[in-house]
Amino acid sequence: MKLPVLLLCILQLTATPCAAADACTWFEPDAGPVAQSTRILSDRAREIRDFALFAHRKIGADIIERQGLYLETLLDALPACADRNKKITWLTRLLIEAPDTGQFADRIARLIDAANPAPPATAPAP
Amino acid sequence: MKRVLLFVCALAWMCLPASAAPVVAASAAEATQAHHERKWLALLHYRPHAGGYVSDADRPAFFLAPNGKHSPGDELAAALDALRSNRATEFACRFPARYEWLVRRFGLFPDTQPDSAWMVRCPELQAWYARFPGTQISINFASSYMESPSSMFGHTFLKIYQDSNRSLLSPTINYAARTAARESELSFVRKGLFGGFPGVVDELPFYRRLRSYSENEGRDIWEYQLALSPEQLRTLLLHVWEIRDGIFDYYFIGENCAYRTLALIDVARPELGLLAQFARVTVPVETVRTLKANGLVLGSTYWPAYTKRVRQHEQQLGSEGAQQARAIANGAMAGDTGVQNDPRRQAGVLQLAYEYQSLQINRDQAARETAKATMNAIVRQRLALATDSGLTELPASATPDQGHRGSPLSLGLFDSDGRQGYLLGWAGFQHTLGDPLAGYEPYAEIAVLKAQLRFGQGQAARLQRIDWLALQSTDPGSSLLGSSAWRLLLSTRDRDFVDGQHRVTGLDYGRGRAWPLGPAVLAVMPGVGLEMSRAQPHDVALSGTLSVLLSHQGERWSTQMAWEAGKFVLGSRLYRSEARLKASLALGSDSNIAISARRSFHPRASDELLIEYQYFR
Repeated sequence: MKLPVLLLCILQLTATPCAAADACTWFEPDAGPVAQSTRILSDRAREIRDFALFAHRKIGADIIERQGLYLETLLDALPACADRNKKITWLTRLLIEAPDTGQFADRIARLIDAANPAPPATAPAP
Repeated sequence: MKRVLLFVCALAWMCLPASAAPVVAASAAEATQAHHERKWLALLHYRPHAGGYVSDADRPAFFLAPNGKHSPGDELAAALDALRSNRATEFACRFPARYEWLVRRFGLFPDTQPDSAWMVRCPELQAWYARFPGTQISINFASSYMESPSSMFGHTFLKIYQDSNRSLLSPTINYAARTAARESELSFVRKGLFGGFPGVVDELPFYRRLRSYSENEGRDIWEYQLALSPEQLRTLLLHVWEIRDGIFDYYFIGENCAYRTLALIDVARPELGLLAQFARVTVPVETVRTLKANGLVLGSTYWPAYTKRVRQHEQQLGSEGAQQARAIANGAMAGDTGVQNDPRRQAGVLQLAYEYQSLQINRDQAARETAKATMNAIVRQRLALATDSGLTELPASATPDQGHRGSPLSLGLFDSDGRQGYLLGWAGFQHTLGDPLAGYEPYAEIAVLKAQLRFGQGQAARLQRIDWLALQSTDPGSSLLGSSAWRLLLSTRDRDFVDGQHRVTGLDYGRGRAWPLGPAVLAVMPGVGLEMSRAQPHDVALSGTLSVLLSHQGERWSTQMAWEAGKFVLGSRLYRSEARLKASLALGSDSNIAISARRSFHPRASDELLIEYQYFR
């Protein structure tokens, strides 16, 4: 993906080119976090955010071991990228850098929405 | 194009049932015959009663006919009337499983297709149903949790899943009692036993169940994949919609989670008669056995309790590794101290420290922030090591359904102070330290409604004891997790007094600690006892008690040595003490033979020897 397009995606100013691009770019060390947005999270992103919130410690244990069902679930939810190691390295960095569980979960959710523009979310789950 | 076709199709369906669609009227004879069909009886939860039927449903809103609770025929007629009227859509949205069966069974709305397009008229149902995209289903058994009366026998819930990668995110269907946040313990037990809690369904994702059961409560989960077709699964889900909000009262013993979960499967496969053997008592693992016996179980997956995982890792690292992990988790030691020359071991110690801290965070909310910072530090140190820890998890030796059945019949011969006789015993449910261990938690005992009848030489039969509820846990734990030992006994028994034996009803409770002693476990449990008996000077008396137990559980052999003493401090000055010795040999998964000896020292000396055979059924 060209850098200007990536920046637009990161800032969530465009959607279509993001989906078509090679999603591995999201996991590059210099990609930076997806910007905070007022946009409502998609159902899928919200589902994964809740998962990351509730299962944070199990996910952490799996990331440490680089294997396990919790890690696989997250890898499956993240944008497609043929290089599995890039995804794991990105998650590892996030696990260490995110100051709390909420931010860890939010950044994963925002990446999912930034990379996979989805139809508008339905009403939030009760 | 496809979307347009779907839209036209949906539009056609939206118009049909509520308008003057050509409904084929079922003949009266056909309707009369159909109300005896198993599918209809299952959908309305009818069971035979006093020569007729009665439905388990406790809310009038579940029926259309005024006497629907007792009359499958009237209820069927009312349902067919609703489908012929302008209430057809309302009926379909409220009772979708009934609706689909009636449409198929009576060939209603013949110009329409038997697919799910009618659901577009029920947006709330449609949105709910869309939350279950999976095509496969499993029943999940969470092992017993003795800290809660409602979970002592385990718990079952359903999981709807699509593929293994999304297994953790899969929605579950969990039937449970809706309890008030401030319910007193007495009210909780009373309503649980005699009714008062509505049973409701919630649909949290599977990872939330794992968090509750495996992480917070330390319970194993066994997942059994079920052989239901997508169509049968659809019927089950639509029926969940019909009963999900308080249609039934919840009872701990009979109509509990396991019974209702089995009833949902019964709706999908009514021809199997799955509920036939469950009337008053439903033990969750028995429902799994029933499913297996009917060929509905395809395979199983084991989700071990998180505490077991930690304990196994602790054993692999030894006591020194465990102490290092504790020190790191408590912030008393840096993660790279002590084992720098062995990166793999260091990785293992750090992983154990992380897992231990995960448990501590759950238990100590106050120290949460400090614990999080420590965990972050552990993660950084662990990730700096480019090696795996080599720690492994051991598979379970047996699934719960492979364990002995719940209700034993026993036959024994005894010699009590030179008098011989024999005994007959029965229990509603029992697993003791002497019973076959496979499929059960070690160090745990549970008995409900355990009765013993004795026949002596030339004497009439005497009910010697009824244990209403007996619970005991003597888990030696580990150096990281600590131990827990406690016991609770509510019983009516013949007990020793100075002038002989008298009938007493008592409640005993003790809590202490347990330690591993080679292959055995030593438990010491001080406690209190409340006893009611006419043999007591004031009818009621309170004692301080001490129970010491040394036990060993093997695959076939198990042995226990116990010493118990009780000194009454209120209402009596009696002192009791006795020692017991018991050895049991498992003869198979459902039978054992045991020899036991008991010597009473106070308030009078007496001896007893007993040989007993038990068969679980």
